[in-house]
Amino acid sequence: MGIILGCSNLAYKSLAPLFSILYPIPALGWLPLLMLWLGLSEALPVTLIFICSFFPLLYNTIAGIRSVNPKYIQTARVLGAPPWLILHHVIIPLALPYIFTGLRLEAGMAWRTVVAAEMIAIPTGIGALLINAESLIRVDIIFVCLFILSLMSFGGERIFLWLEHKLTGAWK
Amino acid sequence: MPAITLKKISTKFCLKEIDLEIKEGELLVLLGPTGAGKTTLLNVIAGLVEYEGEVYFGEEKVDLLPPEKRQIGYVFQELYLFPHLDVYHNIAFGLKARGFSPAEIPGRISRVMELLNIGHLRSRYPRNLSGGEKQRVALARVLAIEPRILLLDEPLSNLDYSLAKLLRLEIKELQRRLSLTTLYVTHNFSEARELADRIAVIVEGELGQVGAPEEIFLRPGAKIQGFIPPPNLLTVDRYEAIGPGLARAHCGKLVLLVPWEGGDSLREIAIMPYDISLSIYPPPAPGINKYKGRIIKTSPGRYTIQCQVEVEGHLLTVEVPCLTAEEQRLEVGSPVWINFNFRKLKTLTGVY
Repeated sequence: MGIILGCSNLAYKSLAPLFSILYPIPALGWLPLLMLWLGLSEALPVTLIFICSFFPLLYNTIAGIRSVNPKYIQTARVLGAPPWLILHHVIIPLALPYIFTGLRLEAGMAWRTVVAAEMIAIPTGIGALLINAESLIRVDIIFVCLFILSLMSFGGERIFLWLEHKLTGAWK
Repeated sequence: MPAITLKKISTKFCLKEIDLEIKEGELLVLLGPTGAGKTTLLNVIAGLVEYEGEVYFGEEKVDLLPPEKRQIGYVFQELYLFPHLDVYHNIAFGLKARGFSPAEIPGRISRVMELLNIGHLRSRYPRNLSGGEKQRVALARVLAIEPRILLLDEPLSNLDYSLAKLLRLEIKELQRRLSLTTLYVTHNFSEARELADRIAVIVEGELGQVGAPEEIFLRPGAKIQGFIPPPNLLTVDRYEAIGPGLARAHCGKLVLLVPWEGGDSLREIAIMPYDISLSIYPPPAPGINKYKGRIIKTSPGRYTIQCQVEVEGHLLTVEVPCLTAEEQRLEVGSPVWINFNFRKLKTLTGVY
């Protein structure tokens, strides 16, 4: 979606107003609606992560696509490249740093949102365990949960960092 | 049949009805001040900007052809090597884009790398290349696709003097060897003279003059004299060779030491107004090519002053920076010393 909106002014002008309306709604604000539609299934936290990550990644991808110097696109055209080749071999690779920035920023935020949802509504997961431990005054469990949460966020970010370095480290 | 024909080319803000023909295998230099429209003209030929008028490659009208179909090679001023591709894949990009078979591509890349002596840079990324290396890779990338026309937009402007001089010779040699119709943009007249088969001078969006380098140098038309001032011309009465590469030329009462390789008769000596030094102070010894004169007339400009100086019966035009003129209080009637820069004296043998 970000690639399409970044490349097409028409698509951007058509869809950007819709996304501008939806973006300010906090991810947790969707929770009551999602609970009604999806119930307390595995789909619920997954959907929550999706909503939390979608908009920042969308806007970072759009910014990344638009940050590609038009001269590189002109150079590719003059070398004979058709539009699909330019998109695949020039625009997307050059936009990757922005896309990965969005991914890294959202990796931790998504985990935090899910844990918050588990604390207030979802009966399973680390968040739920945290709330239970708090009611039982089990400080040891609380600390373990916080440690695991930190590890998961850190791990998620490191994975994206590694992937970014693998794809862009040689030339960035 | 010209390789490129431009008919009444105009763009919205820049070019005004330019008519130009470029011959097959010719190296035509587009010369002009910054903002004249030289790069815009290249972009018109490449199909990168909207324009009015007609562009022909040989007999084929290409106005409706997009840039990717025009089969041209274009080296932009900033080169725009793809930063995410190493040298090999930068060169391969155009070949893949134009549908060359995977079996054919490595051979083509090797040949062009050998031609430009960049085989050792194969796996390097553009950020790890020097200025000269980037320049060679950019050239290799366009030559690999065997374009029918080569466009070079001030390709050496970001390099130091000695490297630019070396690459200029290489470009000239390559262009001759490949007989590739080439348009080269520069604002540097010396560079244009060194490279061009012909020069097209563009000033304020208009084609001022087209001709051989010597014709432009010696007989700049009224339209281009603001950019290329006419040289001072001294008729040689007699001359004698006094050593390898050296001659003494007698021009009336002026006797000048000039660079001279022999050959046809030496008829005239030309020197640009900005290549003559002028000062109220006597120059240090030795007194070669140094004479005393008097300012007859001054014409102030924005950054320089044109002084008409009477020297040994000759009236010469000398260009002096305004700051220098102010410091030395140069005015009509001031006695001055002038020095002819030996390396800038151009010896002429015929009529141009």
